[in-house]
Amino acid sequence: MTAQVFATVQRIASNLFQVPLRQIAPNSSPETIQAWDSIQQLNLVLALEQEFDVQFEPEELEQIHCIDDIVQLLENKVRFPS
Amino acid sequence: MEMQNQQEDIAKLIASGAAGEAKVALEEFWRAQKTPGAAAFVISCYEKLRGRLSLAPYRLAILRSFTVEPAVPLLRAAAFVNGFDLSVQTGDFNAYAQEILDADSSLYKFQPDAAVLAVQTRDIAPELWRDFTDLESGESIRAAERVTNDFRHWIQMFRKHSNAYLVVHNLEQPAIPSEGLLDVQSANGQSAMIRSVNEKLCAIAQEIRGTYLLDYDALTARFGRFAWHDERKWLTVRLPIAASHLIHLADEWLHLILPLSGKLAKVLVVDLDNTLWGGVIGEDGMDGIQLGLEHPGAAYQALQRAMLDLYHRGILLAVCSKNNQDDAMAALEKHPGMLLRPQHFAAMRVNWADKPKNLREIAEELNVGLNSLALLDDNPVERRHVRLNLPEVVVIELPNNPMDYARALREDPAFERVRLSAEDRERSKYYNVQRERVQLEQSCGSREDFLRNLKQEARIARVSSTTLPRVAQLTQKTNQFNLTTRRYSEQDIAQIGARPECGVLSIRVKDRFADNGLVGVAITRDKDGACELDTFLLSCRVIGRDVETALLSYLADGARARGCHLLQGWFFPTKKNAPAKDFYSIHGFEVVEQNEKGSLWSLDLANSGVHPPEWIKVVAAEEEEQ
Repeated sequence: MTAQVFATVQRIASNLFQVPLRQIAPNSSPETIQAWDSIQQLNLVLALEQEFDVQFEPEELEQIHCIDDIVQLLENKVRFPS
Repeated sequence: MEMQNQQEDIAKLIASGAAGEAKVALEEFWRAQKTPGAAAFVISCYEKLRGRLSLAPYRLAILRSFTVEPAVPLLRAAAFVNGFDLSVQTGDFNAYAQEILDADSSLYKFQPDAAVLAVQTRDIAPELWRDFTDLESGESIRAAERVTNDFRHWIQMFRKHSNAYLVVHNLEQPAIPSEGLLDVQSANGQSAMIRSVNEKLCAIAQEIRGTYLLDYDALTARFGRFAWHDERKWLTVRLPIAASHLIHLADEWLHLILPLSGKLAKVLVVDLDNTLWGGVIGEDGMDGIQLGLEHPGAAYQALQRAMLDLYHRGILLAVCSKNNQDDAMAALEKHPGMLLRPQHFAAMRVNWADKPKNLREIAEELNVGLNSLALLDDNPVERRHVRLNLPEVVVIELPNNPMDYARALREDPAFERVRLSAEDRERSKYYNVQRERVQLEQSCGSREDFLRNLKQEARIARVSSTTLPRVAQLTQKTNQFNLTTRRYSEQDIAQIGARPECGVLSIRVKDRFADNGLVGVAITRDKDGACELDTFLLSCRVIGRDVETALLSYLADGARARGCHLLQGWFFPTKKNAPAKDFYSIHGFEVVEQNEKGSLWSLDLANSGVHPPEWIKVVAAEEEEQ
């Protein structure tokens, strides 16, 4: 499951940040990816909400610091739909 | 995974230099998933294809009271797919008023072609939104007036500082009014007050040139107000619109950009079998095809109704179908379910020839460029064939279910107009009359005979407030008989017309068959004894009838009377204006300057002139009615 979620996040992040797929790793973050600014983070969140048909809570958005944070949040949402 | 493969395929097409195929693949890719990720990919591809595709540059400024940034890539991707290379500047958050009022702001430095004023009811009129029940009686009307006055002031100031088009979002209604059911019972309720602001906005937009409305209230209602809004994102990042609806806002912007930029499809070419009716006329026969008030024929009648609406918007209809002519004509003429009849179609190609060949012929017959055609065809193979072979033609994507055809046609931006001239409304009639002219021409022995018989009368007048929109429209739409192809907005024309050294003239041509309407524009500029033709253009409707000579002769006389010694004009060749290429040389002008963009032609007014054609009666009118 995690691999599948990660692959989707990786594909969308790679498109949005305009970097090759392999450059998106679980520990990728605004520090390692130049294009990852607050607007692009919002775009990423919106894209994932659409892709997975979920909604992030305001508190959850504050917890996002790297790709893996996003994957974990999505995992929980997909496994335990509210 | 499929998306990944598609992206790789497109990347390969781009790398191998197959720009045309890459474009078609990108269109298909974008249509299948209009998401932020897809948008980023589409943009990056088009940026690589720049220079290899024909893309019109356009500059859009967005003034806003909320977060619009995530909609911008969606808009740019959609614009690329529609043939635009769009530069977007978003104003600072909630700084729209300062940016409009300050002549030196980044808004005006950006020099946009159009600006969007995207403000929400809750930001600009909190007392009409959240705090409505706090208002004492009478205060709600004053609040609505205050908001209306703010809008008027901003729009006036914008117009003072800029000639760009301005698109104003109107005010949305709340999903549930503050007073619940009571609201609709009252003439001064919350909904009524917001509606009154929108009505006044409509009047302001008509009053201040180049201002158009985006019906944001209708947009949110179309998709459902609850679904449209995302309260979480509003409270956290000031984005009021749910992720899945951002594309619809971007699409609505695009719907306005197309007609404002002059990118207009003029002809809807339609297939017959399984498009205009269900089934195949050659096999199922008149009684077997589906077309009528009941299912399944109702879907096709709904599509015909949508086409009829376009017909009344001045869009020409044409048929292009692989069929036996007799079968098709019988259905068009006699089938009781048909809303469209042969007289609604300006051109018909019913044969077994290749569609691109037929489309070329239709464009030629109607005297329009291929980029003025849009094709509606149920067959995806034909659609793809046309996309690849005639990339200029707009190919409308149709869903699989015929019940969705009418909506798909209505949703397509190709036929959007923000205003209609009298000529637009009458367009289809002109083409019917044109057939009578062709018959006359065939019955006359010579061209001269024909022109004499035509009894043309040309009225030449200075531009007035009534003709100004049509004059601007002609500068934007005329491609063939256009010597300089300079595009002007209404605001530009108003400014040029006010300059003492300039003249903006329109020409209206009547003949024994009909009034052709306002069909030509000339803009002159006098400088140091030379009168320069900044613009000289003629609608294809009257090309080849010596109207151009009559207008030029009038201009030469006028220039001489004002004391000019020379009549001059540039010819800038384009892909489409070959019909105007010999205009100056035919009339005795000589080349005096040449550069990479074109050639400057000059006529010595002291020693020569332009003979007016004796078969056109020229009337100098004070003012032209529209």
